[in-house]
Amino acid sequence: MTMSPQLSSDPSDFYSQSFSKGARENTLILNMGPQHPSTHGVLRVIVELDGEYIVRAEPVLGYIHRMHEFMGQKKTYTQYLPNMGRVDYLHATAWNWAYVGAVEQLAGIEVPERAEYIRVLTCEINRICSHLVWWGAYLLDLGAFTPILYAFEDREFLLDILQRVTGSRLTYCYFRFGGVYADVDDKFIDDTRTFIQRFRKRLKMYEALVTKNFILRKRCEDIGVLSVQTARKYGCTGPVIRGSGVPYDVRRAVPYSVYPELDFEIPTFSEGDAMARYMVRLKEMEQSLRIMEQVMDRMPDGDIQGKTPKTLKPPKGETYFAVEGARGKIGVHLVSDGSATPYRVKLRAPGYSNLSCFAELSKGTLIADAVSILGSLDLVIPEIDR
Amino acid sequence: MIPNIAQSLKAEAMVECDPKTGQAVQLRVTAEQLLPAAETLDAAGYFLEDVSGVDVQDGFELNYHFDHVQTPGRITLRLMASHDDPKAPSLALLIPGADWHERECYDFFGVDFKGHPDLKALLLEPGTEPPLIRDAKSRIPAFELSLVYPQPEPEAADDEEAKKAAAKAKAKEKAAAKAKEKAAKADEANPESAAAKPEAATDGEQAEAETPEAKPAEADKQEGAEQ
Amino acid sequence: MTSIKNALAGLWSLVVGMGITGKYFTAPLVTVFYPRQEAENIETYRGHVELVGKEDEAGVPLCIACGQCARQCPSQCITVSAKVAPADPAESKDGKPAKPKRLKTPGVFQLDYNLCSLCGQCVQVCPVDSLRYSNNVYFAVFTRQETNIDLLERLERQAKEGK
Ligand code: SF4
Ligand code: SF4
Repeated sequence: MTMSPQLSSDPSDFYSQSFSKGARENTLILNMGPQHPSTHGVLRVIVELDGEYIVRAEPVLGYIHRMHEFMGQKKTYTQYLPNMGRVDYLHATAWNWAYVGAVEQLAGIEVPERAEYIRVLTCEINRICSHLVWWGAYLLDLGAFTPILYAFEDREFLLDILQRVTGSRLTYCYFRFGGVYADVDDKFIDDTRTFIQRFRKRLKMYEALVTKNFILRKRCEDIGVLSVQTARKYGCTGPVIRGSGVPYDVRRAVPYSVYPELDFEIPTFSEGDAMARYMVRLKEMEQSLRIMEQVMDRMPDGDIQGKTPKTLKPPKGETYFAVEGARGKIGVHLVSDGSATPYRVKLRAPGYSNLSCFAELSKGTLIADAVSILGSLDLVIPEIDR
Repeated sequence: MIPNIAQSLKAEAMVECDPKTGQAVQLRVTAEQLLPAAETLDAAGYFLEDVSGVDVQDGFELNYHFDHVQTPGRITLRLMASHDDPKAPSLALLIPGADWHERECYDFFGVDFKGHPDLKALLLEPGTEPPLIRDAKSRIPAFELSLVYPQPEPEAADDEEAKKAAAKAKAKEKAAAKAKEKAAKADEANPESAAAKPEAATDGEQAEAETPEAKPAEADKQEGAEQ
Repeated sequence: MTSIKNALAGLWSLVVGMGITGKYFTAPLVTVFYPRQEAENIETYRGHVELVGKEDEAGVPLCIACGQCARQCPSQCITVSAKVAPADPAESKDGKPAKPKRLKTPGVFQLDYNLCSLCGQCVQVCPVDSLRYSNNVYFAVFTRQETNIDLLERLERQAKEGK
């Protein structure tokens, strides 16, 4: 394929940089994104095609890069809090938690028990929200339009519930050092219980409507098989590695907060294909419901905010804190120089590692399957780009 | 508890970490030691979480965080790349997941990863000034980050510091004792996994003996506390 | 044989799916027709911040113009400055004119809602609880400048309307 002169003469363009030399005869270079419906936001994937088969694929990142890590060095510890909700807008509370947890670990701030339970509760609600969006959007990628409407209907209930305590519907800034912003009330608990009842039935409906649907199965089964070895080498976590048969979940592996006291399973499927990742997420929603029930039964009374100094200055040193987000292991590496501003905040985004294996996964597949693979990795581009 | 695997790694210095750091063990490695160390960790089933650069007085410090899916316990390899000529060996061919992490460090700090198959900007516009380089005045010395770096002599007058250090040392002793128990239990519980490790049946004692660099510093601190 | 079975099972799964869709097709609506109807949960929504008036004097904020909220705000979207009383000539000493006095009430209180991330740190930091979230959810403007809200004016207007 010949390239247009502008593209090949512009040395900074990614397309010409990596593919002008590499394109072979009889292959076609196709640009997917950054505004492509199946790349969920602004991911750009450049694929080299031989017929309909992918010879080479390379994701291009950075279209929504905001340099959150740099902002962390310019703002005080508390001022950096709202950034966390914006890193991954679908599972904002987990990012809230990762950062708040890192600061608490470094500064030795105690969190009251009630606050811990509220954190678990909101985090799990948010996890279901995230999985619902993924579920709807993934099926949309595969050409099924209706499911996303059902998913958003259910998600709406959860957003209403979360709005009661957090005040917002998407980019939560709810966790505080040593606690949470607002207490949950009875209506919150009642609504959540009603939702759990309702959602159990809906999950059955989802299964009948979609999971058993043989068109879906044909699109997902044996597509994008990720072996345990590859998953590990790429540092994949979350549903991606659990879909390859490794029961790795930070909530169990390195338990934090009150998770050790809660009884839940880590759904694992060993096939490693897109269907396995799909099933892991569906089963995870069930487990989240279980966690939510237990948390509501056990939630003690008490404070929701521990003692924190007014201007927070953690001692010199560094720490690493990880939590399990909807997409995998969220890690925050925090370095403090003893001042009120972080010295360095490194954010480990699970999607970043999960996406990095796409080039290998998609090699030799049909381009339509690549869309299925991309969707099954559950990408949130703002999180990947940070 | 220092995982057995960590003891088999060649490194300049190794310390067991306070749980507050969220890491099990840190190793200071040189550029030559990095690849073999990563290779051993990779063979033992560790995965690379991320590569986190920190700009300190001594250079760009690269933190390679490794974790294991079955026996969690973060192992950090710390490598210092100088400010004038920041370079480090690339792990990308060995651990493909390192590819993007290294490109990110190249973006943010301008570190040149030797042997990287395709080192180019990933998140930033090519040619952007690395944004996370700090000005020289605001840099902190590396020893404040981690005990793997030689610590300065604690001053006797600095009472508070000494106390803190002593407390830390104590906490460490406790942790080591606990770790021993745990290790013993774990070994009983699943003898297979213990046998699978390259150097099984070593315990805390050896672990302590293997951290000569960390020891003197600790002893100094304890003395300081007594004064 | 098995392939025929599989095909039949597959077709049946489609029928089941269609059945579910059919059922929901006749189910009552779950959406709200916005201009004619409104969502019910607006009171829990936390929109941009607003000032809280004094109990006896609703048009005057509790605010003591300390400026902490402006300093704490991550996006620097609050501008607050104290009201300045004109110098009182009676207080002048030795022929020097008296300095104008900074009063403990704000003269300017602007919020640039464009920048606000609704994090609530200003609300939490305020020593006299003079800030709270409004539930102004239907907030639409034609120009960017209009998102710069004069909170003092807003409070006065609210006081007049008897809110
Ligand atoms: S809510 Fe946050 S961003 Fe908005 S004005 Fe208050 S402190 Fe600033
Ligand atoms: S609103 Fe509160 S924090 Fe802000 S200036 Fe007034 S008194 Fe101070």
